[in-house]
Amino acid sequence: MSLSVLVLERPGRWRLAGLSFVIAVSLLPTLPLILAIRENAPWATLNVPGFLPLLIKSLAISFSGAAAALVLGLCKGVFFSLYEYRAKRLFLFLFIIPIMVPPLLWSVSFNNLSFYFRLISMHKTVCLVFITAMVTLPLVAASTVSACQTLTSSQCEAVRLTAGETRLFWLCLRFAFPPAAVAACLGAFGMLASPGPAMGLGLKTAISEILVSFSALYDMKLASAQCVMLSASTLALASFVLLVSGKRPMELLASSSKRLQPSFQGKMSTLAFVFSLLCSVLLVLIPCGALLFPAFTLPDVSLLARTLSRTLPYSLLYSAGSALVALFLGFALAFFMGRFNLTRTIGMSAMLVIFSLPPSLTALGFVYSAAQAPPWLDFIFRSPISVCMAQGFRLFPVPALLAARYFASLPPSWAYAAEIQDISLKRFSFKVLSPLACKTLLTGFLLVFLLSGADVATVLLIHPPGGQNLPLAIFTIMANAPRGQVAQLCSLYLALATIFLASISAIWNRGKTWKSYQASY
Amino acid sequence: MFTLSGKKIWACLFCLLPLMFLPGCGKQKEEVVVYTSVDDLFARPVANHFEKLTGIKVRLVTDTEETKSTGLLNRLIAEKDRPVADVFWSGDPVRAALLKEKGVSAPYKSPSATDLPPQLSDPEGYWTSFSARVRMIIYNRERIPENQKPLSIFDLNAERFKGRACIANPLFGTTSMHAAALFQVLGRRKAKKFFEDFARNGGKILASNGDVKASVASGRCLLGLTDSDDVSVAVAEGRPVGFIFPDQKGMGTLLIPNCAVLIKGAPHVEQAMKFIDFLLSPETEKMLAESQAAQIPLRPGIKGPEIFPTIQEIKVMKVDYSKLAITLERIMKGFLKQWTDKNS
Repeated sequence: MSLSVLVLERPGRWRLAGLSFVIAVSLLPTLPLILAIRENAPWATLNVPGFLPLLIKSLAISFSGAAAALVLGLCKGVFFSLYEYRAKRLFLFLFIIPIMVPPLLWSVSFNNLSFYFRLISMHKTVCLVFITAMVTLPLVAASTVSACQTLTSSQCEAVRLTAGETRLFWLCLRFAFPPAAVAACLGAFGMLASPGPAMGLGLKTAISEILVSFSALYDMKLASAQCVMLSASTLALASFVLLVSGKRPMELLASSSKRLQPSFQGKMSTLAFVFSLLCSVLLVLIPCGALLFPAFTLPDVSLLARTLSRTLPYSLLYSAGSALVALFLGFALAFFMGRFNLTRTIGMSAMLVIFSLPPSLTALGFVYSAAQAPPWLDFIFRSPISVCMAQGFRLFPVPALLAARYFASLPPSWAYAAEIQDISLKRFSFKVLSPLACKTLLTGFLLVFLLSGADVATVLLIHPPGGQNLPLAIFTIMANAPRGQVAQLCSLYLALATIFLASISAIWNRGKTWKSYQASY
Repeated sequence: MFTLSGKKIWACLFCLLPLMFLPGCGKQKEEVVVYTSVDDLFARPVANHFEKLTGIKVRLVTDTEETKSTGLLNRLIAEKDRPVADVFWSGDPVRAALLKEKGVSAPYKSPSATDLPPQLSDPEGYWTSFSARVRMIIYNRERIPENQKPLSIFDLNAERFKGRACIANPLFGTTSMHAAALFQVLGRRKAKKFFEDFARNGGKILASNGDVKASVASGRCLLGLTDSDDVSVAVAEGRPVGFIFPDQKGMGTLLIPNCAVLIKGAPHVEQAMKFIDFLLSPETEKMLAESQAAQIPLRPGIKGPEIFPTIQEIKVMKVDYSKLAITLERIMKGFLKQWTDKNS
């Protein structure tokens, strides 16, 4: 007996069960540590009055950065979706750079700024807000573009003709705001769990305090208790965010007509170009310049080649594997969330909480589990698969967000029509759902591929001996290696990521040229 | 024309899956898994040389104390019940002593260690010291005239350096070890006074020893406390920095030897012992001395790094390394944590 297509549109307890299963799987690695807290009750040593102000400070920093990213990312995403302008793809690439680099390196970049160019010496808190904004912006922009792509050309043309270009821009901003806000929250929570930048800048935050408990005091239970407190505050905030984001725009869509295509619109295209240029210079080129500036020394080519040959296979493997795991979990979560408010609220809250868990906590949970597991399970727990799983479990909220939007953009009428025509779920999935999911899949894959490269903490703690990836190689030499050598490796990493992105883009846009874009309008 | 359908995308993605299993294939027969907190830059050439000499494949897992990762030590503790590592090559004896305390290490008295100074190693053989770094004062040569050069760590608190001295976060790495050593050598009262005076004098707490080096080199700070390998790199880069072995007329300079630790239940014990023997050999001391780490050999008669004197020429701080971990644990949860919280 085959499943009915209508399963896609029906609520049911199975959705909650599925949702719980996906969330439980992703939280499984942290279980040993959470059980350790229950057994040993370290709450007495938690020092809530000392930790709480740090938590508030961290939240304030993360959300300031996320707010800036939300404003800029929304504008960037809408400009990208509505208009054609010069060097559009170059700007798109520039905006992706910040998530490709481990966040710790951005603090190195800011330190370099004050080291080489003494004039620029920003306050540490401002630097951290800046870094949060840089890292969050690509997520917000991707989410905005993704949301805008569900608009139809006819909708936009109608607004353009009746209310003008400015009004269209404003309406698109409003339309894309809720998913963009959730993406900004994801970014904020992600940075909340990333100790590198704060420690690199010498700034005390909640996560740096957790790190002190982990690696200075070796008090895993205290650290776990602090993590639980961090996650609880995240959960509270996530609920608040979901409450204020209200009706999600995905439900308002009509999808059976021509998709929105960007077009040249005189002043707005120029404005989009100027905006992209300014953002790129401020948020990407200056920090990148400071990071890569020391690279202009004579490179040790043989050392670079050795490092590359040793780390490249693992870099690709971890990133691709994590992206696959994250895509699978993300799509499963989005599928179980469906269009229903209860499942969506639970799913999204869980996504935000999972994203806010410090990667080291998940990774150490994995190491504990591996030590307790029977040796025959080593092929999972002590192989590259463990890295892929740990990173995928943490990063799956990113594709889940995109997939949720994708599922919501499918008109319910399609499923009903298919049911009437007696089309099986399998056939419907292959012929209708899969082709439409291509862009979402690829975007999700790329985002996780890039984000996982930046997650050094997980790789450091779980990678099999000898299985270093390139970001970890940079991370482990950056303390004592000459700045030039570190910068050369960073340049190499960025160059490789660029080649990778360019290849994907070339395959995707095969046959489409700048002139063909112009000709189409 | 080439187009991407849903099927093709899924097929491509799932084709990547088997790749995850590839690195497990073709494992070498003889191998040793080495975790090290020594920087990759310095540890890898030694491991490569061992591979060449013995044919035993070294699978290296590196870390760095300065970048504030949760670190390999946590990984080693977490893997205690069924270890992956055979050897831990520690950059300092405190972490090695901590592993002994947590029951992660096993005793091994290497035949290569007979001519190494026994007072720097664990008497029961749980860790054995070799090549050392030194805690030293780094200062900006362009900003500090010759007659005002600091001579002691107490000079960091001198009026002439008000607001211009720096140290790395004392909760981490070798700075934490230095703090523990001061508590052991000076006593609780004097050590606390040193830190309180440092804060009163406007001393800065930076993220890492690397930052101390960079700050002093750029002139933002005039002097600071850091490790000899940082100084060596700064000098090699041509930065305007000078260095002092502090307290040569007083309590002496703190030595930070490397330590070789055999892991309890190591999967490749025989190879692990061979690797430890190699680490403790004169050859490794020579290699580390010649590297940019400029580590000082503990054996007499081995040529040390050009820029530093030999171990015999340095007045070394008398520290009981085997008890340093206990001192560190005590101050970490007490004074040092509070002091850092208050002043950073």
